[in-house]
Amino acid sequence: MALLEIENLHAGVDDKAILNGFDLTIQAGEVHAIMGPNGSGKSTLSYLLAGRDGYEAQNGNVRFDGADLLDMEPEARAIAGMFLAFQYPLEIPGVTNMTFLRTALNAVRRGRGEDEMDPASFLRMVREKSRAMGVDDDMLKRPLNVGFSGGEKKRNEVLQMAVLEPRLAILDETDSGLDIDALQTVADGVNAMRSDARGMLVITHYQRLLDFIKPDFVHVMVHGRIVRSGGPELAEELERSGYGAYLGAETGGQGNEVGAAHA
Amino acid sequence: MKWGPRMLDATAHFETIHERLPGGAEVLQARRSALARAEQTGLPTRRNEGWHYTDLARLLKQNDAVPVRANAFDANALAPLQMVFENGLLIDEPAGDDCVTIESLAHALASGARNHVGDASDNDMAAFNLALAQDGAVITIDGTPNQAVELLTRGDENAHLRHTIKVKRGTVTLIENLQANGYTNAVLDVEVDPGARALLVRIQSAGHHVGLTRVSLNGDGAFCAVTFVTGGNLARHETHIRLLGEGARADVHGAILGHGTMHADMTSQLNHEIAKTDSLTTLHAVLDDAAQGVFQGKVVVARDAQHVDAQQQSRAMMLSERAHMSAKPELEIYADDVACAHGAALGELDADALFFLRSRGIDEAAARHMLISGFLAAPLAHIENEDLRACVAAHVSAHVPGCENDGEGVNAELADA
Amino acid sequence: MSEAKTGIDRETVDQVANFGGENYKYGFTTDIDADKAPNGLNADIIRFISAKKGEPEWLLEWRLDAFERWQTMQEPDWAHVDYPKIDYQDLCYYAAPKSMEDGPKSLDEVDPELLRTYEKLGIPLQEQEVLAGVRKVAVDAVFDSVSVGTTFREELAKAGVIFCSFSEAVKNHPDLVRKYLGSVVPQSDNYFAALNSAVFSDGSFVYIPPGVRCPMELSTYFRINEANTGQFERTLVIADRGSYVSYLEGCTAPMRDENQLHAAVVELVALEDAEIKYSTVQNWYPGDADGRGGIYNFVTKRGDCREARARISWTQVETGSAVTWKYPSCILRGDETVGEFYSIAISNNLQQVDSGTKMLHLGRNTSSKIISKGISAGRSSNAYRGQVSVHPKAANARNFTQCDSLLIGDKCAAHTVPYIEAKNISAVLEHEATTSKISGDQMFYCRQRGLDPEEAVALIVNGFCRDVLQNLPMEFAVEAQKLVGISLEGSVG
Repeated sequence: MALLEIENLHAGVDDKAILNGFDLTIQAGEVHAIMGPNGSGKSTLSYLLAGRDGYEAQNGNVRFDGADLLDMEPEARAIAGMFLAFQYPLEIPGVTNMTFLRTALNAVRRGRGEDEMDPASFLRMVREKSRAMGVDDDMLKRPLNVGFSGGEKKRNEVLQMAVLEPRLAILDETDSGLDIDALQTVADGVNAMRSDARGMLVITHYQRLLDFIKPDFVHVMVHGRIVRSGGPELAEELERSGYGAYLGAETGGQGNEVGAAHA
Repeated sequence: MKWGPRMLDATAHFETIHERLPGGAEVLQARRSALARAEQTGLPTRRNEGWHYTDLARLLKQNDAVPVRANAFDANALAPLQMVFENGLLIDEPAGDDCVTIESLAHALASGARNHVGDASDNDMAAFNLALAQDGAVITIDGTPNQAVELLTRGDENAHLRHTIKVKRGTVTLIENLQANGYTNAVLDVEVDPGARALLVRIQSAGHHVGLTRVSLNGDGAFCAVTFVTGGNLARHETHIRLLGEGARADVHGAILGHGTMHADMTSQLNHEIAKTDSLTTLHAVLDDAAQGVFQGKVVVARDAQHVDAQQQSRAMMLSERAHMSAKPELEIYADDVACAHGAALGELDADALFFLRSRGIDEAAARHMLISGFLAAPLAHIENEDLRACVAAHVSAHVPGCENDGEGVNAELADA
Repeated sequence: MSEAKTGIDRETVDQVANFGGENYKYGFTTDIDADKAPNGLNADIIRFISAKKGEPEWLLEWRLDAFERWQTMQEPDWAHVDYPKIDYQDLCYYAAPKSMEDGPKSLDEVDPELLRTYEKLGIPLQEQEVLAGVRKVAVDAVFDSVSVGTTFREELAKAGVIFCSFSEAVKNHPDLVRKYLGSVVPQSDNYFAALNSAVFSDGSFVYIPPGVRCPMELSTYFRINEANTGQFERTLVIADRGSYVSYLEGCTAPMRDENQLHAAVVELVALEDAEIKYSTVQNWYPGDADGRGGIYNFVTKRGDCREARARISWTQVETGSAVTWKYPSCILRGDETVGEFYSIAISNNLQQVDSGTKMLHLGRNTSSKIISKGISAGRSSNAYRGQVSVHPKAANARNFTQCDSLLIGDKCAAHTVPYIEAKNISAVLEHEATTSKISGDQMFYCRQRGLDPEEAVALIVNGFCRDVLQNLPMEFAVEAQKLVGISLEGSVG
């Protein structure tokens, strides 16, 4: 059984169609990358998969580990193992990072029928994982993301992923706003999470991130659906030639390459 | 005797109790003239700008107690020097220590140590208080005491309390624990000398309370009040602070956990009378059911009081269709080189933050509770003493709606603040 | 702060302090024969005004009714202003140039002295004088108690737009006047509105028919000329469904040692999908440096977004008047209506300003925005007073308020008094206010780049006001920008 199976997904926000027959299947152990220009529907896809209010599928199916994902509440999806690393992580004043991590982990563990983690083991585990992510004690004590730099927020997202150990991690533009060193740290964190049991969906505008997180499959998304799929070499090709050919194809129908992409 | 409409007749009340009121002829005369003045102006009405959002006469007639959400505040774990006022009278007088001198107002008036005269005020409610005050605390602090001083108010009868605190040296932590079910009119006068600090934590969990706190900060004295209203029908906490010396610092923070038909009004006026004085006034209101929250904050910067930093912030989180919030953050500035600002924000729980928490596996009720608690972490953070903060956090957490879902985690959260 | 900086600040402040009323360039008087009512206020005076204007019986009754109510009312005292008691019996309530006795004529017949007055004020009343390349602006000129002429009437009439003096509207469009007069500001709304309702003399009337986008800017230019005369004009603007109009208003008065009262009422009605932009440059005589003379500007302005998706936007540049008391407001009655208020209020010398707005959210999905910039200099006092109120049924109301004060010198005062009231859970209201000064560093930086202190202050103040200035129609923005500089002349530091 596939980990994630998206079939003919249609969705819109405020009457505007954004996803137009989107298909994608991810098996456990695979890392997929979706690349596309701004406005192609990448973020809508990630919000829809995570269950944000106002993002409803009008048509199509999404099965996660065999269950109908679209019927589930956001927290139920998290418990089932869906994790979204936000492009713009929220700032939550007054709730410290540490408390947030503990509350989330225990909620997920309860939901999975596991025991809550005792405070001492929890502390040990978080310390260990945060060291790897370059998240220091001070960041753990501060309110969640409040006053964090762009890089700190993204590192914090990956730390949450490491703590919650999801089945599928969606990284939404995780490279945006990161310098090269921060990118390396974040990518190391993500790579350490790669395993045969876990799937990953990396959403990005640029090929740069894929130099650090090597995908098994690369998909080009334009106007709400995948117009071409391939291996890692596709990302490099896009870096050279841009999205122009695909955009033209959608509006004007030019270029043979696009025909091939549909094949 | 429960508070009822007929109790609005202060003269009748005065006649029944005046023989029991402490103080000699001079004090009685001062009481009579205050009463005459109070009766002449009557209870303040909404036409009075300072009472624009609080209809006192109507609220005082409201007798059905707001349902209690959780226990009253209990600071016994901190073993404070405790003064218990029951139905307006001190029930036993604690011994002070090296740094704390404690006396009851009744005692001080009876012995002639205080004469009450010249204690007039242009505040209508303070005039009622002056006329009718039976008891109160008279405290002098000279050095930092080891324990906090707690003023605990309870009972079902009307009470008029008048406290006077003088802080000569050191830092004192005061706890005003307001549990009385009846109507209480309280005046708290605080004077802080240069270098000294008065830290006040006030919790109202019941009753109709109308309180006036007047503070004079001499030199670089500091005053920090953090008030939590977690229950009761009416809470009116009015704070007037005069910053009289360079380096003086005033903090007035409030939190309202409104539910039922609670009406909570936080009113403050900070007079920066001299240069280089700072103040911060904040309110965090969480309003559920048909609760009403009021913030009236006024900052006055006198002519030539340059380099003043005065900030006001009022934030309200609305949880119910029937809840109301009114805010009037006011600035009156007569000096040009100052940093004064105010902000007011009002809205529902942040839907994006709620989604973020739920996407991490936290169910909706727990996520709401977490956001509300986080919202209330700010006022808690102003409590300097860690043990006291934890104690207040536990009390507050028990009053956050939906706490039955995940009380423990959030307790920890609040204590972390 | 270093010596040098203090020096710069001091200099700036002194320069501001030196600025007196002599910089007021509209302070001349026009020597013209006037037809005046005897001083005093009673029912007979009201009958006199009504008869002078040949009004129908219903309007006279309406005035007398207002007068009756006014007599029972108290002059408001809550504003942050202080002025000697006005003797309402010692004022003249009607003055009109003699030549206008027979009512408005065509522009060709208007007394040349009057035309020259408006020329001096920079207001072209000759249609051919409108320069090529500049957008057309139709003008209704009100001189003391009467309208002396309205330009571009024919061109407007072709579009179906009615733009005329209030008196003409009463004669020619009585149904419209009767339907809308007092429907936004009732006779007894407040003391000054009641007074205006009793004695208003003239003003402008605008009606934009359904679906019409008014082909040019409309404007009214108010001029008080006679001494010891109150001006009580009444403006009524109705934008019918789906229409649009931009309306400008300017005011000046001669320099006189005694104070003069101006108590106007402006009512705006925007029906479904209609939009009204109302801009004011208020430059009444502010009095001299010692506070002698100047206009008491007690004005009631209110717009009613009566039906769905209506929009009303107020923009005001307030630099004149000795005392200003005005709160242009929006009633957001229809669903999805929008109200906006952009204000620059400058006070210098002994001027007193208490101004702001009210945004009353009644309909669903309504939104409002308030940007207020108050600049105090000299010994003046400048208060922002604003109310944002969300009623229980006004779901999803939104308000953003930004309210900034700038103080120039240490003898002036700035106040901010917002009232924020929400009775609906879905309201999102944000209010921010700051108080600041022009820093020595800013001044030094500008001067190091070659600006003299006055230019530097004007530059910095204009920057401070930018959010509001850019909402003015272009023609007004330029004038307003200059006015900001002039009002603070000699004050930069």
